[in-house]
Amino acid sequence: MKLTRIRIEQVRQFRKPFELAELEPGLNLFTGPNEAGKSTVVRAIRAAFFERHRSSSVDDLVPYGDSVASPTVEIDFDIGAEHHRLRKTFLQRKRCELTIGARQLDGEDAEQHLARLLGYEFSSRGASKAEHWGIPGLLWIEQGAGQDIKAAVGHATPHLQTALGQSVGDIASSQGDEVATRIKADRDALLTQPGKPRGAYGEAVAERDRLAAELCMLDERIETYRHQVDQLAALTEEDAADQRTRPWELFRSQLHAAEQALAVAQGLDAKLAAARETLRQHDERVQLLQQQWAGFDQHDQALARRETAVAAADQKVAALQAALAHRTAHAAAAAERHGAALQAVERAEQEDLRAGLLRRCSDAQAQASALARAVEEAQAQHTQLAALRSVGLENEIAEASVRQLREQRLALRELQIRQEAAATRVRYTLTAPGLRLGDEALEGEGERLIALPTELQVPGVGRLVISPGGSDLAAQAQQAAELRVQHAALLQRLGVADADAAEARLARHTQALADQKQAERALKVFAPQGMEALTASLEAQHQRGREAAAQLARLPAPPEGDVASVADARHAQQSARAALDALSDQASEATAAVHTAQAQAEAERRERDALRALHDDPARATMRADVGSRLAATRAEQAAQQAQVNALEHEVAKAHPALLAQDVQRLARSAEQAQRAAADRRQRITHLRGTLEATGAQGLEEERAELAARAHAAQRRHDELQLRAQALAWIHDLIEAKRREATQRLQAPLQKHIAHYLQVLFPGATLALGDDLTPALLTRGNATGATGGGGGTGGGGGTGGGRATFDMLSFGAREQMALISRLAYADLLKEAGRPTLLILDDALVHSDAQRLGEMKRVLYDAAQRHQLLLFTCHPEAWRDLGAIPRPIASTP
Amino acid sequence: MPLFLHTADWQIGRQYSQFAPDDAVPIAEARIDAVSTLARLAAEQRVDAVLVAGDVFDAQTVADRTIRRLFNAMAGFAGPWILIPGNHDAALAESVWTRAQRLNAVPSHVHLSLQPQTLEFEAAGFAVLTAPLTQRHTYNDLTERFDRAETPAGLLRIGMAHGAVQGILAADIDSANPIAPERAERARLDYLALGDWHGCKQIDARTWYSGTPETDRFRANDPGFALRVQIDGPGALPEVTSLAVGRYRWSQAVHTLAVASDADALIARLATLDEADVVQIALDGQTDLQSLARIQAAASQAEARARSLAVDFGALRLLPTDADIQALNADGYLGDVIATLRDRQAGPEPQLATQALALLAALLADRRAAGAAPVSVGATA
Repeated sequence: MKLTRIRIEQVRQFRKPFELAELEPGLNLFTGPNEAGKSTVVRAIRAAFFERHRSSSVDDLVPYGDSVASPTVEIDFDIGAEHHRLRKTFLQRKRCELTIGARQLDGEDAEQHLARLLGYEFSSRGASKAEHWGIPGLLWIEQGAGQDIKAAVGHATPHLQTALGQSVGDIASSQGDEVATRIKADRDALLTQPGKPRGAYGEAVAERDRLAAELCMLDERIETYRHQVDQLAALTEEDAADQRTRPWELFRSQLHAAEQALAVAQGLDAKLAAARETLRQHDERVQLLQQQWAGFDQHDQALARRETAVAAADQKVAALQAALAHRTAHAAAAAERHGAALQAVERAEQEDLRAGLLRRCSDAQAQASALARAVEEAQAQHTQLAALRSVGLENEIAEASVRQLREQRLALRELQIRQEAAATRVRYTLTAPGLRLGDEALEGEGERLIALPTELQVPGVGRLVISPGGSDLAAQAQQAAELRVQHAALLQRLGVADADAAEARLARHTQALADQKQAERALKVFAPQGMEALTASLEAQHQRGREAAAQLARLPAPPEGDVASVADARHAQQSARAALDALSDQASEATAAVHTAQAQAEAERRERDALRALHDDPARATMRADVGSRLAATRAEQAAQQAQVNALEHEVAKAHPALLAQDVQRLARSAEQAQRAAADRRQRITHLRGTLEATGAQGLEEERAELAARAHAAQRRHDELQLRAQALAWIHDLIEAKRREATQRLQAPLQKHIAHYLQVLFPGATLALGDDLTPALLTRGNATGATGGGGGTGGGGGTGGGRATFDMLSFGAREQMALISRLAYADLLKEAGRPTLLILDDALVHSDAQRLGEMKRVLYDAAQRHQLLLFTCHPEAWRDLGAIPRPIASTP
Repeated sequence: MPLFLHTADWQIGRQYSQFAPDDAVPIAEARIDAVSTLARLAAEQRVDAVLVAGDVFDAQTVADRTIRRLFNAMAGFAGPWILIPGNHDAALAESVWTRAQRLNAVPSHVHLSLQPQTLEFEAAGFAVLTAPLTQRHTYNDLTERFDRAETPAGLLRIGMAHGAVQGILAADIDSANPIAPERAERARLDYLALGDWHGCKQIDARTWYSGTPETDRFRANDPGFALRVQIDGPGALPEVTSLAVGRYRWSQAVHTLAVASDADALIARLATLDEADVVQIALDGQTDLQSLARIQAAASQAEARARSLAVDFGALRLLPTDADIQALNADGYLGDVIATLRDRQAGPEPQLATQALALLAALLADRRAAGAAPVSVGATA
């Protein structure tokens, strides 16, 4: 089926006719932004085929706000060699015309013809829905529904199955699926999905286990019962033996004998205790007397010790006194040495003073003579200085004035030279006097320079005024006159005749000043602080000399011989002092020691005297003799008593009273225990009998037999159900497997087409189809050597390695797989002679660049066999599809 | 001319776990009924005493009610019953007997010999030497004392014991409670009444096992009898007659199916069963689906008639014929499934395979009967 032209009018935004003509037999790419009308074109195509022309449920086709519109769609297409034209108008002018070559079909007939031809149905009422769309529903992919394929395949299943030849269920087994359902139901009634018992089987397992447990408990009780019976028999036998032998009576008679023996032994014991008491009294007395005897001896010894001590103390006193005398002598000698050292110090100091005074006297004299010379010199200098000062004063002249004079003279000279140069020279040689030039009368021969207009009176002749020709001669003359006046005034003020005199006076003054300075420096050498200070210090030195001489005169006469230095004398005195101190200390220590020793000796002596007084008492000797004789007597008694005690002890040891007492205890206990054991046993017999009677009455073994029967029945039922469950599971699994094999055989043609496309995306991968012919399981890569359709696990959903069920794939991958499947369906349908047309509205938007590239190859390939209309708002993504993009745009 | 009824091994209180409860209860009841029958026989025969040689009870701890019912069942014969304990009901310190006595269930004409003793019945002209078991198992011959036991002259010497006669009962060679085979002669007994062996068996002219009066197992050794023992006088040989007492016929067989007629024979055998039959049949060999269906139908019918019928199909293999499969309309992959199951019967789990096959066949047959009726008629015709 190839669409060649589409024309729409009054459809949504296409109020005016819009036509897409000369469509390609293969790929057609329509582009346009959102809202441009792509979806409207798609909708129009769908409406033209799917919606009845009489349908009033196509309001969505109407342009907005245009209630009187008649949406019209006209489609030209070829099926095989036959040309078709479908023209459908909705709503206001309901009409449907189908032209097939020369044939014309109208209305319902035309619609039914198309539906049969393309493989879809019409809705009996209302708008067409997905379930009516059949093959086109599968091949015309709506926007955003690319991944959603199950339902679409479902609606196209009859057509696909017809294309495949038969339906899976039917070809596989005429009643297989129903049987499989029954078996599965039966299996599921007994087994859970993982295969655990449930339902009747589960109950049977529980019942069997419950009864087994009960049986086990009952067996235990029976075992207990039997054990108790045996116990009872044994106890009864023991009791009978006891009653025959009565063992406790034997113990009783033995006990009696033991008690008697014990009484005898206990009598001996008492006697021994009494004898030991007597012996103890003897022992104490002997001890007492021995102590008394020892007291006398101790007294004697103490006295002797005291005598020795007195002697020793006296000896010590004597020794200490001798030492004291020796120390005292030493101390006195030291005091003497110290006194001599003190005198030596005094002498040394005096001589030291004398030497000092002598030095001061000579010192004062030397200084006084030096000062006297200085005074003399200073007075001479002083006189000279006064003379120099008067010279200075006489010649005092300001150096600036002299300089001024010098300059004035220089200026005058210069003016004179310039005047002379410029002045009118008047040379005369007079023969007669009287001629007067100015105020001067000329005579003889001479020459005059005239700088100013000057009147030459020639007597008698008259007057000639000579005016020098130079214009400034007059001014120069004037300047010179002024200068000369100033110069004269200055000379006058300075009191000198001329400038040279001033210069000489300045020189004299300067020299006088220099000499004066020299004289002042010389004076300063001799009298730095001035003359008065110098004379005062001279007087002071004289005074010092006089005082020192007076002091010397008061000193005593110097001793004869050498006198030590003050330091040496002091040192000697200090060591003498230290020696004196040490010896004085020793002397006082020795004195103290003598006192202490004397006190001790006194104390010892008093003690000794006391002891001796006691010792010499005559009563004491009597007493001592008495104690001695009593001690001897008591010792004899003690020995006799000891012998008696030993004899008794021997006897008691032979009798073993402790053992006898234990025997009595043991035998009494034995008798009692034997009797109690017998009583206990009887009690236990009674108790056991009671227990056994009670237990016996319960009919345990009969109950067990019944229970065993029930357990057996439960086991049997369990076994039956187990066998049935396992058998059902087997059948179920087998049917599944066989059915899968059959399905795969059946789907082979479709698989072939899928494989053709799938290799482009995933080389080596397989996409298994479910019974419903939708993609089910994608196996990729070389994870498993999956050979053509090998019986993989069905719906388990295991995804080891490269296996993934369709639902687990990403959105993009699902869309790709679904598209591949659709292309394969198209191939299958085409092979079965059905018209195919593929429409993709904005497909594969979720594919990455690489996958999209591969999908383009797939689509290009499919377009070799089918016409493909692809609508997209991403033209750039489809540039390399190999189709010329045709923009769609509504013209408002 | 003393006359005795010799019986033993009543095993009162025994239960039958191998049967369905519906069957097991009547079979257990039959044991007490057998005692009533014995009482009736004893009365009819006017015997001087009933000798019960041990294992009266199946266990020590049976229900009180069971004890009472037993002694009640003995009421039909008012003469002396002489009972000795056997290994199942040995006279232990506490036993079913002490309980019976405590319950006052033992009538005065029933003599319980719980100790070895000599019971003298002067008027009737016999003395009974008993060798009751006082332990569950003994390893010395309790009848040895009979050799030395004195009885008044002129009285018959009747011995009663429970155990295994040495060297005679092959199956019980090593069993406890031995009895010397020549005991009757050595102890000058006129008759030695024995219990323990459940079949009726003569040891020598004067020594017999009566067997159990009501069969309790499938071992075919002649059970279900009591012995009528007539002895003319001391030294005379006893005249022993067996009397049928038991109600149920127990039988057990293995039936091999090889050819089609084997199934027919089996079906014929099943047709003979009635309410006295307690039967177990194990099938082996192989069969096709149609024969299996016939056997199942016959077994189902027989089951309704017999007291108990158990047919074990476990070892039987199904070999569906092509006709079977066609008849089941098992085309397509179902045919493959059936073929696979058939082959699996030779595998490691044959029973499971057979069961699966039978299940599937039954399901298909059901469907054929229910749904595709016309086709099914055409196919079987």
